[in-house]
Amino acid sequence: MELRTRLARGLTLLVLAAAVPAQAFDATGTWKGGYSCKGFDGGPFKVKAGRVTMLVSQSGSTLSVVLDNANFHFAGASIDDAGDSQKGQAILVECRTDDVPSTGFAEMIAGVVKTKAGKDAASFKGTSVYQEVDSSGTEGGSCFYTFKRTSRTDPGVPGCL
Amino acid sequence: MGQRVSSGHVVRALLAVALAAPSVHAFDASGVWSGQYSCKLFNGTTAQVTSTPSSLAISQSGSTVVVSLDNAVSYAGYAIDDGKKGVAKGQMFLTRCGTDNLPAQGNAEILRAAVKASAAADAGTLVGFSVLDGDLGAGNGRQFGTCKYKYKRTSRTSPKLIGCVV
Repeated sequence: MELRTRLARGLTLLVLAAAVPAQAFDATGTWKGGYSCKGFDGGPFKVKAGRVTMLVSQSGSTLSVVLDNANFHFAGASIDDAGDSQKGQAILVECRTDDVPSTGFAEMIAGVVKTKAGKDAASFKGTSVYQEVDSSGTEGGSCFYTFKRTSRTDPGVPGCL
Repeated sequence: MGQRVSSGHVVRALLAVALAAPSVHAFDASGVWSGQYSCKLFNGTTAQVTSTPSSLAISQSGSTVVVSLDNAVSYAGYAIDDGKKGVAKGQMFLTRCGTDNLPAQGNAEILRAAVKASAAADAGTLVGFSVLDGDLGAGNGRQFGTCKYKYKRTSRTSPKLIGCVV
């Protein structure tokens, strides 16, 4: 093949490669980890939970997450890191959240997600603030979450009902 | 379901019912506050944003709290007194008006603050932390992040504020 033809084909491939957007991170899968919370209900208290499972289904930038045996159900959104699309951040909002804090439960988690293309290995570290008002009393607090992914199989988590 | 209940939570609740006393709040955050907030925000890249000076207008009635940040952002929430007798402090939990469970729409924020303020003196301190999801405006995408708040009360005059409009 003539050198100029080879160069032209090479350049064409380079241009095509550059035109394909980088694959965004995908947090879909099963995650294992835990959380610790510092709450207040008239006095400070701590809650710690290990061996917690987090299930994530992600489609585009939309996430659906269940946590702690489905005691907590979140809707979420993700933003890719501009410098590395396998990393990014997510916001998770518990499905019961609204702007009427005098009743029910509300929580928002801001998390950092790191994945590796084509691999199960991934990490999630998040911080939250939550509120809770029910018949047993009133409390609120903040929590820290740490999880590692063990499988990329989609658990089929639905969105908020 | 979905409750993080402390061991003393139930005991305190039962005591509160047994005593059946009128709710008297040891702290009252009502007034005008001056200070600053700083946010660590992410929209693909990370940015640190600081707003100083900043003001908070707080109206508290019993455990119900309404807040206006810089006359621009409204919050509704509740106050929890510190259980220690004779201490004018506690915590407030606030939700930005408009917050819902649709993370890709509008603005949402939940804020927690430790407050020291009595009804007998202007002096007061408020230190807070929040998680937020913000809309950057038409075509500019979104940002996620956390914010820290730090204020001192300058006046106990309770501003006229309304809660979140349903």
